Amino acid sequence: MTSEELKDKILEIVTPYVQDQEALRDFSPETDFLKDLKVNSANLVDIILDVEDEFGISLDNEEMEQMVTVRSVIELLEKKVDQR
Amino acid sequence: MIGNDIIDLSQSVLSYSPQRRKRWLQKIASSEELSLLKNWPEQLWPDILWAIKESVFKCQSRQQYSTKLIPHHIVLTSLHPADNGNAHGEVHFGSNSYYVRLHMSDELIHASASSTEDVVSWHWIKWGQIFDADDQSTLLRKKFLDHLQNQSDDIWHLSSNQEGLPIVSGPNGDSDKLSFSHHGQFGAWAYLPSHLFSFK
Repeated sequence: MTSEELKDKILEIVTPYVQDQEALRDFSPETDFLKDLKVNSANLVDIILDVEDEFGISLDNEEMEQMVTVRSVIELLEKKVDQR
Repeated sequence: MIGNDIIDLSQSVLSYSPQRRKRWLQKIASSEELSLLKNWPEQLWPDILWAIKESVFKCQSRQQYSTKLIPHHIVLTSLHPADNGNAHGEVHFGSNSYYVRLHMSDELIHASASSTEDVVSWHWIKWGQIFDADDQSTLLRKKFLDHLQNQSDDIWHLSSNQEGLPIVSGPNGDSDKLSFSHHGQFGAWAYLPSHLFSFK
């Protein structure tokens, strides 16, 4: 998957958890899930579970901690999916 | 420092499948923490632990603001049941310790956390209808100002710091010992009245 395809897949995963759909208009690698999309922080755990399911991977505590922006998730996925 | 978190159980992890709920819990809990929750129904463990950790996270955010998901850094070290669905305990986060108070009913879980054992005043509201998040936040702040006005006739004002965390201003100056939370049908606040009314 290219970075662009990963970004689109992440957008698909986070969309159900974003109350203000207007905030998704500026969705980019720099988007911060909590600050920009105002995702309820508990839903970040849901996003992590959905990412695990979608890509068939498991994320540990340190990897969870890195998942702040869309770019950080893309970079993590590029690394994890390569390791499979 | 003060933090609080309210969870509407009709829209929480409680409604997930048992398998999803178990995976969700594994992301935020250690085995030591799970052993502290044995006095409560297992299906509530994710929501109880999340409310506690989120309230402490909000406390710590006053010192060090972050948008990282770091539940494993926030460690519940004790939790004791009390009367009427209440509980109290202690949490460690880095080198800091926090006191947590928990209130549970059939509809909600509320946790408040503070860095001292001072009396924390907290209150929750059930909306008559579901609003979007921004409207809930606005209404909650208005209700809090009404609450202060009922305590004292002084002029009260709410503002935010650069991270968007609330500050209340009154006759004795500013206080950041205040926290708001809303989820689903519920909104809540927690604050240290001693910081607002100490010189009255």
